[in-house]
Amino acid sequence: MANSIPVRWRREVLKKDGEQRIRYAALEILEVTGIAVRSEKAQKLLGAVGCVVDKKSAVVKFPPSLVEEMAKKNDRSVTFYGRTRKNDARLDFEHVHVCSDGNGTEAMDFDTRERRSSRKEDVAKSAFVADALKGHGINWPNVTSQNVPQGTRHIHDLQATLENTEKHVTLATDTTVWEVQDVVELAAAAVGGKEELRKRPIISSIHTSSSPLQIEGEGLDAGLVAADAGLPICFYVMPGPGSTGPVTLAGSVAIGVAEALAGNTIFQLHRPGTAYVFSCGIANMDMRTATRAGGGPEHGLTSAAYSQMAHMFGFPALVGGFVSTSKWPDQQAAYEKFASAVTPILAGADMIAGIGLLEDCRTVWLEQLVIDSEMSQIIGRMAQGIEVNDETLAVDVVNKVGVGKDYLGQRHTMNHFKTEHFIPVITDRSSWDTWVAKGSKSLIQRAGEEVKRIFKEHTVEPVRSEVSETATRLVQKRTKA
Amino acid sequence: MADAVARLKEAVMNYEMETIADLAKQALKDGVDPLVAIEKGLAEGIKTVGEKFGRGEIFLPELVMGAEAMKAALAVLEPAVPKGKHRSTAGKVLIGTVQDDIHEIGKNLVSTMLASNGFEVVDLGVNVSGSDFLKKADEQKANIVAMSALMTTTMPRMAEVITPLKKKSKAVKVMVGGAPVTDTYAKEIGADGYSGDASSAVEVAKRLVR
Repeated sequence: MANSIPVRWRREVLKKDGEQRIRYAALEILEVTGIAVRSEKAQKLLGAVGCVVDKKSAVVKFPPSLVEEMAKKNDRSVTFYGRTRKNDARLDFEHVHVCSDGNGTEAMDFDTRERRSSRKEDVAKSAFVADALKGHGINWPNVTSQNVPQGTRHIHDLQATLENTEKHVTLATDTTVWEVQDVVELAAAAVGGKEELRKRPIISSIHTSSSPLQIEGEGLDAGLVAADAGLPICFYVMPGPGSTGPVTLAGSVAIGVAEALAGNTIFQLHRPGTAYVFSCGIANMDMRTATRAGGGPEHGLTSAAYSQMAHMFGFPALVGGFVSTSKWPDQQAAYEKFASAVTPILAGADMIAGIGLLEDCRTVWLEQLVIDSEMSQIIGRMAQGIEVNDETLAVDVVNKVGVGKDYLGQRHTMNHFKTEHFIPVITDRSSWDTWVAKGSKSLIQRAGEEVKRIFKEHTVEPVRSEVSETATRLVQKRTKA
Repeated sequence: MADAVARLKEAVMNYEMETIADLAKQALKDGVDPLVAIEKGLAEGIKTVGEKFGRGEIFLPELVMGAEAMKAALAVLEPAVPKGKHRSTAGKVLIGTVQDDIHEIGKNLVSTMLASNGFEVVDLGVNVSGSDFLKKADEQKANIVAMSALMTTTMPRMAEVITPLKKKSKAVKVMVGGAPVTDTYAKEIGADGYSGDASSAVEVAKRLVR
């Protein structure tokens, strides 16, 4: 299975009572205020099963029983398939899969050290580097291609990603029906046809609500087409506590759950058994700067709570983590990313979005991917906790080694050190003198060396040639139109 | 015969510390020259292991187990080496933890690293008195005396050995190490070399015997 973190040391942020209160709050919001659903197709589906639909405002009020019935129709054994089988990510509610994150618009150029608008080559390079990382399991393209003609970004993003990773690709640049059709065609080219893609969807599609309590029609209709092609749907909600959601975390989580449940109701009515993933990035607004406080302590808490709510209803969860508002891979980046990742990972979130970006999910740094992967493995070790059994207690070995001797030459040490201990890639634990002798390198420099090593040594299994042919054809079609 | 030697090399590289002694015995029974078995088998094997460790491909437990395997086979092969013949080494190192100090993991690792890089290592153990260091250095005709101290209170013991040792012989080199020891301190007390960790100790030792 793909790189993933088994969660043995699970820490739940909500008590049972809290879970139930958020559940009923979400159902009450859906029943009393409802949600604007700006899609005629969806309104028809909802009206037919007893929802109250106000045509003028597009507001739909949902009966709680319908919402809960539809929650049971979700596919509960979803696999996010990789292009190669070893990269399959099974969402079994016991493992965390760390994704790269997600549609940034800027890149810190690895060679020129210039911060600039993101290009197709950044999509390709970040996918390639992430493919090599042990702390990473699923690829959400870090950035989007902005140096390509209008209306072709989704094609270029997917092509560059498919060509540079064997891992599952989750996409957010397919926000219209025709864009979804393009990415389905392109992904199908990578696996040998649309039926193959339906059996082993190697891509999934991210769609969003617009908090508070709105679902736009174009994006939703696009999502329904993606579901028809058999792609798993990640329905992303982002209420900001204090801005687009109640300032209190419980209230914003409740609004997010309400939006996700409404989305699921529509998807299951449209296509029962759709693989639907509760997804969120709930970070408050900073009350001084009016910017999003991504990576703040609240962000990790809401991600953990939302995962717990998703699991209560039987859905896997994709939530924010490893986020930082810092502009540089510095100490602020380290503590914000760690804080926002550790909480949802210990809560058992199925997927975390994710690694590689700074400036609140805006700017990709290849070094940051490597640093975040390290962090992912550190937290991964924490989540595995301490296993206690005869083998790990090792009393036999203690009695054999006796007093005053060491354990380095024991077979027991050899058998367990790689799984029992986190093995650093870029963390420097050498002495001062050795560190100086090796050039007094900073963390960013060491991460940069690892990036260079990956470019030199890593390989990705080539994708079918149909991918490039299909991409060229689709780009031509969309450029003419 | 070449097969038996290659098999010994492989056994060190595969960390077969529990079973390598039997291989060594069988090799002797089959008439393999013990000196060849040591130099072309064990020494080559541990050299490969040491190189892999240096490149960060394998980890300490693997290095130590490789060394344990080598030791287990040496215990069988060395007594069979004809009198007057000696295996060629990179140099002879006398090593120990100084008096009043019983910490030895760091010292053991340095021993392992040196042994895996072709040095012959005589380990005096822990709590080694100054007079023992001096006596053994003379007896063993060591090229290098290596001392370890893990406490600020036992560090000065190293200086107590260096002064008389250097008076006695200009040729013998001294290297020191241990958590509280620094390069500056090493120079202050007249040591020829210092290393902050086991891996770089090899480079220091190689430089000192050059």
